[in-house]
Amino acid sequence: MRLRVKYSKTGRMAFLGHLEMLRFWQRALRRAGLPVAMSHGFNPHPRLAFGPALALGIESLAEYLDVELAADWEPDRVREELQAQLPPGLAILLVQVIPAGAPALTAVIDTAAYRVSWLAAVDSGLLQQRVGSLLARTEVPVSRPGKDGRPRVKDIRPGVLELALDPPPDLAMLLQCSPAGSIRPEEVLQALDWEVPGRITRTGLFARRGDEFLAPEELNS
Amino acid sequence: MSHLVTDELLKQVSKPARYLGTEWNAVHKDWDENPAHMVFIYPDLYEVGMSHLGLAILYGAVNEQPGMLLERAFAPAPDMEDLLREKGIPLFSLESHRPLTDFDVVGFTLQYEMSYTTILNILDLAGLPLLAAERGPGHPLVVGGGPGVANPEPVAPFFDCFLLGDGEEALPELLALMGRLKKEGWAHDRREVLARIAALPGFYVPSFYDVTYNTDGTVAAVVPNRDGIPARVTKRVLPDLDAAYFPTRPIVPFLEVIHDRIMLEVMRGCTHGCRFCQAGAIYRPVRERDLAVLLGQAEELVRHTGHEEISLTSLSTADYSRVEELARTLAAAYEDRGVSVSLPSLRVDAFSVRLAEAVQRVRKSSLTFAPEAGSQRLRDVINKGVTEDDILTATAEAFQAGWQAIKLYFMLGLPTEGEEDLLGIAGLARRILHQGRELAPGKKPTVTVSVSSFVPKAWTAFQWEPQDVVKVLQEKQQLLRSHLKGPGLRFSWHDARVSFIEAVLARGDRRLAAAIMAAWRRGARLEGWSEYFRYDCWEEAFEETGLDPAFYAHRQRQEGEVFPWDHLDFGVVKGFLLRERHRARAGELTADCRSGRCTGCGVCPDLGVDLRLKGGPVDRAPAGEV
Ligand code: SF4
Repeated sequence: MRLRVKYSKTGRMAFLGHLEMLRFWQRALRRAGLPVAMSHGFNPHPRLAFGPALALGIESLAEYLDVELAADWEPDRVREELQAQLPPGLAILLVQVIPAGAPALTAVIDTAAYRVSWLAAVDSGLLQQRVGSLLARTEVPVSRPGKDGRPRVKDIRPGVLELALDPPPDLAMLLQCSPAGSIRPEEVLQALDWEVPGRITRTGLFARRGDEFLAPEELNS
Repeated sequence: MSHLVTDELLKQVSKPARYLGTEWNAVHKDWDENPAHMVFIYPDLYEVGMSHLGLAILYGAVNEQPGMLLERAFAPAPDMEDLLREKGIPLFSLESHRPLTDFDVVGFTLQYEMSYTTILNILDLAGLPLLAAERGPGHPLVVGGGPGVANPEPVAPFFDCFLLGDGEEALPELLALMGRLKKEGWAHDRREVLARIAALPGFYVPSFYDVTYNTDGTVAAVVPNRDGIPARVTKRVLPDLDAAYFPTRPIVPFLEVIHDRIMLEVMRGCTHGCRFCQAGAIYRPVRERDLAVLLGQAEELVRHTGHEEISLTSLSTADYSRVEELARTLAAAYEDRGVSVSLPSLRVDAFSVRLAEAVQRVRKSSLTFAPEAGSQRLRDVINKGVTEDDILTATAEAFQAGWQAIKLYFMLGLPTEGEEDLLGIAGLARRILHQGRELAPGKKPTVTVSVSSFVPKAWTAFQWEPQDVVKVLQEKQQLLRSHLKGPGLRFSWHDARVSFIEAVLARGDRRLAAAIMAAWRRGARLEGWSEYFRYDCWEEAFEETGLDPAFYAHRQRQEGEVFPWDHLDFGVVKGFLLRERHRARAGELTADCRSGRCTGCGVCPDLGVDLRLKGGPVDRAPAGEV
């Protein structure tokens, strides 16, 4: 059976990279006694699939993991047994059975929502002004390191779908996040020329369906 | 300062997972409810320190006791160190992200000499005075333990006290005492605290001993300078490991560490009696764990960690008298749970290889053996108890079982070593390669020879011997290198200059503390990593302090000489070591006391303990004399 697990990754856990999370889940699943299906082949490994990678240091309220089990378990039991194996900062939000043929997370997710809360006082008016002028532009070039390490200039404007003080003075962003291209929240801050230190949280991952943004758990119902 | 760490530091360093402290099974005890606070520091990077079984044992042993807590800290990587210095933030513990100076006790494990400069760096990053004599009422006690305590004298001025021997009972005793002293209001009186600690068995307070020197620079005497202080401090030893604490909920690191697996300690100590080996002497006597106890611990470990491998650890696991039963039972029990069994230290014989073959379903790329010396004569000198026949049957077994890469460890510069012993290494490697080609036709066998340099250590039969000078060691490496060229042969060696510094520190006295400090001031730290080792720091340090490293490393010591560590008692008697020295010179073997024939090392009567062998005595040893 195939399960989709939604979890949050907050506090110190935000500093775990993708590889560390993979190792962590493999061991947590084994501790929980879940009958995880193994891949075939020379070096069998548990069948796990993740959503789009999250940059180090960013907290998330919406991470996803698809796991295939060799036996049927009630989603509630999975949630309970798995939660018992997680340290503070990782919490299971949802466990859902999905069809065996459902497309992979990385194939459907194309949008990510972020929130920035500030670690120092901010002038909301000024920030609102900067947001307004960024949204009014047709092109917003930022430089990012290219594959060879040399900086490339990239226009992030088409990838900024929403940008607002919501709730003020927090900054909410809806950004493109797909294999075709992803905008990093830091790049938006850079384009805003906003240097107040903030804590960034990923608040959602979505698949765009016309004007609607559906969360992965809404796709298979 | 927890927010400071997460918001200011972790975003800017590589591998922030080193500093989180929230790994699975990490213990976060309440600071106020548990008044005795200790931080255990492994003076190397997280990946090295988290591979250390001793840390896991002591972490659990202290934290399961009420009234005390033990947190962890490691050497920061250079990028984190730069950041801490730049921002003026003190080094912190992992669990509560508190500065090290918040703790009552700061404990270091002394695993190897090349970590000593790192210890100073950590004290400095914590904002603590380096010298014990300069620390005052508000400062934590700095405690050392681990194998380096076999001769802690070069670092003695930096430490308030040392613990000799097994720590799982002694460390909770120390913290219970600290808790009492804090409650009674004595904790600020450092000398009173130290006097009370010195009264605990196994604890050595170096400032309560005066060292005097002869005109030739050797030690004249080390004597207590205070009433009620014992003339010799005897190590702690757990008589029965079955009754001892063992952690079944060890921390599961997020990062990939060097030994990333379950470590099941099957026994402590080793009876082989290799004459160069310090661990074999200071961890005596052998104490095996019961099979049923081990199987129970393994089950809990699998359940509580989720690891995919169980490693049967000890100094020489193939010697454990019920190793075969244990390994086979575990392998069968966990096969369908995807957990494998591994044997980290193989003895050079066919039995070990067959055992590895039986339990290790995944063929590791290579199989490693340690004949240590290239000729039978020299193997007899070091009491290795291994013949060329043993080696060749072991490697034949390995090739037949499907291994294609053999790794051989040797030591260069052993006492009495000559050119024929060195050429013996190359000859042996070629014979094994040839054997591999015959036994595994069509495959491409490789033989890797890896050499380290002999470092004479305290508490061994070779503690009187000089080390070869660096130039000679390098010439020997070159000679071997030129004889180990060709397809299928590989050669690797360790920097002889590192071994030289190790030799200076391993048998040094308190005066060397000045050189360690000078080397650290010049930038020496993390010297276990070849990329960070800086020989120039040491050259300048010796120059500046006027200490002659050759006096420590290259001098033939007199048999009557007082050693800097003679006031410490690890059970093995000096007379036994001296006898072993003479037998080495004569090329005579000494039996393994696992055979049931006690060879009189002195440990058992001295410490009032016995060998604990679960399968009864086994005489697998060569026909050595008692
Ligand atoms: S005293 Fe005898 S039996 Fe005990 S460890 Fe020493 S040699 Fe072995």
